[in-house]
Amino acid sequence: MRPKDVDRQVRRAQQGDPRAFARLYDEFYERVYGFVRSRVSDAEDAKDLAATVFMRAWEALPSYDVRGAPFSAWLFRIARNAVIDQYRRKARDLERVSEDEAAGVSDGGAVDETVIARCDGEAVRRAVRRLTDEQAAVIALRFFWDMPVTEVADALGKTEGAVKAMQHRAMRMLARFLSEEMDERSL
Amino acid sequence: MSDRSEHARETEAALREALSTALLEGARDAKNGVRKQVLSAARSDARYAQSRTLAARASAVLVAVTLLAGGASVAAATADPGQPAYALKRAAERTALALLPPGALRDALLVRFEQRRADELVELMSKDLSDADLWGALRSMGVPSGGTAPTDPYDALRREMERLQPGEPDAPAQGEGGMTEDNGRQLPRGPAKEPSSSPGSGASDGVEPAPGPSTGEGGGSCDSGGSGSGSPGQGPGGSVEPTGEARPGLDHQSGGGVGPR
Repeated sequence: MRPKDVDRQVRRAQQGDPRAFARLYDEFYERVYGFVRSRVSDAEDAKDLAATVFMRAWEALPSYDVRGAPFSAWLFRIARNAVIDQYRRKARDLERVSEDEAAGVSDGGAVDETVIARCDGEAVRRAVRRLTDEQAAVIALRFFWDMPVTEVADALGKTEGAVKAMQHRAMRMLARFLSEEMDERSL
Repeated sequence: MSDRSEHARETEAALREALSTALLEGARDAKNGVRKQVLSAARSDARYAQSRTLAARASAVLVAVTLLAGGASVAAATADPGQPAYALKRAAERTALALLPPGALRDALLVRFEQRRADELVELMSKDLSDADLWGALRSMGVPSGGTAPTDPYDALRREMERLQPGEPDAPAQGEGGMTEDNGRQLPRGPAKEPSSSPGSGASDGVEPAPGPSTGEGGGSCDSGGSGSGSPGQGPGGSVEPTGEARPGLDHQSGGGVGPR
């Protein structure tokens, strides 16, 4: 959907048209699901979170201004807040990595893409969950939401340079974690 | 250097593929169920109950007028711009409006017709019509040609689509099949929208989450286990705190006097 089409559907949804919101849902569902799935260990939790995100989006639609931030960035903030709320509710089960912890992990170096290809879904998900929230956000926005760096920077309140650096480090961290996964399996 | 760049690109591509596969596993299965939950909540949202009632009544008026006009009008109800029956469709719309006194119901019908025009324009854009056919369709919709109008029909179409965007204070188009709002009366505007703010939740209260360390729990373990599969506190079907004021009633943005021409 082109940005103008998104805006059109948003305006209609803001007038209470559920069909317009359904089109937005179809357009953004995978992006939302992919992001929340990257932050929780359970598919059922991801499903519940995705539902929560869209219901909150519907509820908050009257306050969204199409002339402001892109709808995708606005929706992503809702998703991010929903994940944070989930963490607060399930404080004991947090898998989040603090920035300090992440800073202490060396990213190792480049990893062969064949190693990546050999990792199964669960290994990849475990690796992603080891990223910090910001790293995960950058990966989700760049890879799933296909946002350009400038929009990611706006969405996260960072400079473009910081976003590029975060993306680069996140990818190297991911590659390292996947390599560790494969090493563990070979033992 | 180019080998390293190529390697970096290949690694990135491999990561993208792996992430997509891993994070979207199960997404398709969950999609329909979540969709039903979300849309069910949206449809039963009390903020729009009045506008939905009005829209339903407006539709009923339109259907009644169409049926009363006879079989030809029934067939014309789905006519596209440029087709011979399109004039009948517009005539039915004018008749429906003429039967209604000024008020919310008439406004709801006007909004519906405006959306019809927008949908018709989108449909025209997607068809690969010749210039002549497209001009014919646009004229049947009352889109002006000649004079200061664009010479390219696709430019005229795009300009008309821009004009129909809500909030644009444009005069209605004139011309064959056209219909102006009586004496240029504008549709009522909805309440002013709050500035965009970080949408939040009951817990985060609309405040943009600060980047930085987590609450300090968790660590390098990837398989925390015990995360359970319980629904979050605000799970599906639960109430969701709005971040703005509720806006009941007919709340549309098309205050620009745009209506069927």
